[in-house]
Amino acid sequence: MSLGKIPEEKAEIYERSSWRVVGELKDDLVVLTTDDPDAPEIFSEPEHLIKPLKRLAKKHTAYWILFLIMFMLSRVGSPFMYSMLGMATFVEGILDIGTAYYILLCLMAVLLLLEFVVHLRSCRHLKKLIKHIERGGELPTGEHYKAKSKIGAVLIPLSIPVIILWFVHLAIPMGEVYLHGTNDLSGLPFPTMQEINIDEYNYYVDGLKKVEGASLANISKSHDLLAPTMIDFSQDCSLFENITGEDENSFEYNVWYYQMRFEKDAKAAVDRMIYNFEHFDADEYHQNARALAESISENFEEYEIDYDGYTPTYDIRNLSRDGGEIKLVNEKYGYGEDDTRQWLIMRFGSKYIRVSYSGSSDLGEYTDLYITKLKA
Amino acid sequence: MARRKFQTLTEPMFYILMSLQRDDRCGIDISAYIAQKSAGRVAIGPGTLYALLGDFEQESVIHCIGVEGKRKIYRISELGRSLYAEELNRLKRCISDAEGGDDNE
Repeated sequence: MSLGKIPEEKAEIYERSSWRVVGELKDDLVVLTTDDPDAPEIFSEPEHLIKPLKRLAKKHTAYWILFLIMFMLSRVGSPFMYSMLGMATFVEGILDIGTAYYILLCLMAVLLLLEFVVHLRSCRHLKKLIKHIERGGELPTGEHYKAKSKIGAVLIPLSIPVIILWFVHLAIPMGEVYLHGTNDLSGLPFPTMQEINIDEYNYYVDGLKKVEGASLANISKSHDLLAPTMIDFSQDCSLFENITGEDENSFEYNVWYYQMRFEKDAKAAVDRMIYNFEHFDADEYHQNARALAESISENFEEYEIDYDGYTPTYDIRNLSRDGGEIKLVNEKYGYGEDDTRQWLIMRFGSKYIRVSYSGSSDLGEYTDLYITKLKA
Repeated sequence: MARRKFQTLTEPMFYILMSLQRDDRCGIDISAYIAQKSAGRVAIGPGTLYALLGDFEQESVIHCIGVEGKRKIYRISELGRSLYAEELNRLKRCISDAEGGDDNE
């Protein structure tokens, strides 16, 4: 074994000393062989091998640290972040990213971990070898660790492509790959506001599409390996000023529709939503609100940002029937009389919807219509 | 700094500098010269030879003065000559001490 990219002159002198170059691994490793038992040692003074070995060990150290950091900063953990809000499931988190994209993320994460392990092992092996040589031990023959060498022979040349892949994955926007807007409100698997005669306002129109015979609406249809159809529907927009003082659209009527490939995923998502309402944690809610306020400004109290105000309550009614799972949740989120929001959660088999509505009508009166549309 | 690093030359270092005293040589010629001069007693492995040539070049003990075909030609510098002369004197004193002292009588 020798180290460094080999110049032709060096190869010639190896050959004159009965050594033959049989392979090179990038600029790091040169493999030599000889059939001559009297061939001289390549390093007649083994300490000259230590310097390039130390250089190589440093290189592997830099790589394993880099791959560990890259693994920790990769987006593979993103779906887990959604659980911080307590209102979505891991599956929904994956759906937001896209299952195909998530699978690629997982593959990349596995590669990053393997690269980390290979470089860490190489580094430790080299450091042991350096100590062994420094103590006057014999040089290794290269006959050991054949299987591990094969793994390293694949993964070490892949180091740079994996680093490039990591940067590429950061450049690809998540969740925006397949969303698109449309004006077509026909054939929706749930009622629009007009169909359920809910009062509408439409205070704010900028950026939204006017739909003939219907109110202003925003609709995004998408698909995924886990959910062949996903619809994000918003209607009846108003303008409000958020806590950072910026204008923001607020839709009074929102529907999220999912047709999942597997019923168990639909059930898991719905169960999780209901669980979050049933197990609302007021302390956690205020902690998150405070963290949000602090993230906006260090002097958040000067801006009268209220993080410790009203504690929301959730009144849950079970309206399940016709083989479907149906829950209606009345949320009271503020001191004002109108500070209420209704959540209708409905699942039939592998299809489910989540409806959010702020207004005076009772969504519970329209469940028949939702059932008919959803089962159609 | 270079003098401190090469204050005492090892046998292979000494023979490499010896090989460049009169002629400029490439690595292969250096190796051949040492083998012939020492009658095979001093064998410098090719890995060690190129590691030493690299160290010498880095510390300006020798210079590469050109490339002939695929071979780099090295020439000893004034610093290299000085190091070689010092080591030669040191070795002569060692021999003189060993041969001339009362302990041997």
